[in-house]
Amino acid sequence: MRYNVEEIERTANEIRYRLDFPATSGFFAGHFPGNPILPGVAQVQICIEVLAKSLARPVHLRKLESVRYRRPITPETVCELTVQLPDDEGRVVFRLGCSEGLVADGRMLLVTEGSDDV
Amino acid sequence: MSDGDGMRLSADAASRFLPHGGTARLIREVLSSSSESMTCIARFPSENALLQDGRAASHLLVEPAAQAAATHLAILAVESGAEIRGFEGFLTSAKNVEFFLPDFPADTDVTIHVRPRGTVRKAKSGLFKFRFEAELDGAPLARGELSTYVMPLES
Repeated sequence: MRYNVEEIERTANEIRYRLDFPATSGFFAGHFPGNPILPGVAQVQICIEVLAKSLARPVHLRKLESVRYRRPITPETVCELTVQLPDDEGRVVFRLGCSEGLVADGRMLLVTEGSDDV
Repeated sequence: MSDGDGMRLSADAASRFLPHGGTARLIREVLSSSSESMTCIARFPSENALLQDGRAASHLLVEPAAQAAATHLAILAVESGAEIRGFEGFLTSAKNVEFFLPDFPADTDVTIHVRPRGTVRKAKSGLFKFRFEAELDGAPLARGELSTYVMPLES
């Protein structure tokens, strides 16, 4: 199990998820020995995975316009992820937070299966 | 270790500069390094938990690019006489990163070029910005900017 996820709310514009990261998550393997923190790219990966599942179709990134990492995620951290649904251009905005505050936020352009891009 | 193209390092030598272990260790070889840029080979092992179905999504290339940036800073620091083992780096941002393919196979050599923005005269703790490009067999995979906060790993 890399992480646990539960969709907790869906509106017309966004979806909120509860996430937690077991100490045994493979995401922590080797990153770093004795000081495990979640790789920053894993946070983007999780956004794409949960959104693909919620939309019931494959998605991948065309462009990472901006992402800022503000605090590390350590084992057993519980987070809340809010993902705005893609606009007409495929742009998605996300925010990831935990009890201590904002963890990361970003803006990216997605391609969904069946689109002509990439 | 040095030649006319600057420092060239094997996988073992390059990995000494970073704290990553096991399948999170992505830099396989440093091909060339100068004060202005570094080129290296990165590879995602199929056992890395970030991969799915034996393939790496191209957005994951930000991670080896960040490792390459920290390696480059470590090389510059060591060349300037700093007594450090390497750098522990924390990715703080990525910006305007374009992806030209959705994904690529695990265990494939990807060429990473990193270039610090501005002159790095003597690398030490702090925030550094880099431009990077990733190529697979000469074709572009990704291109963009990242910033990383690094701290020395003591010798």
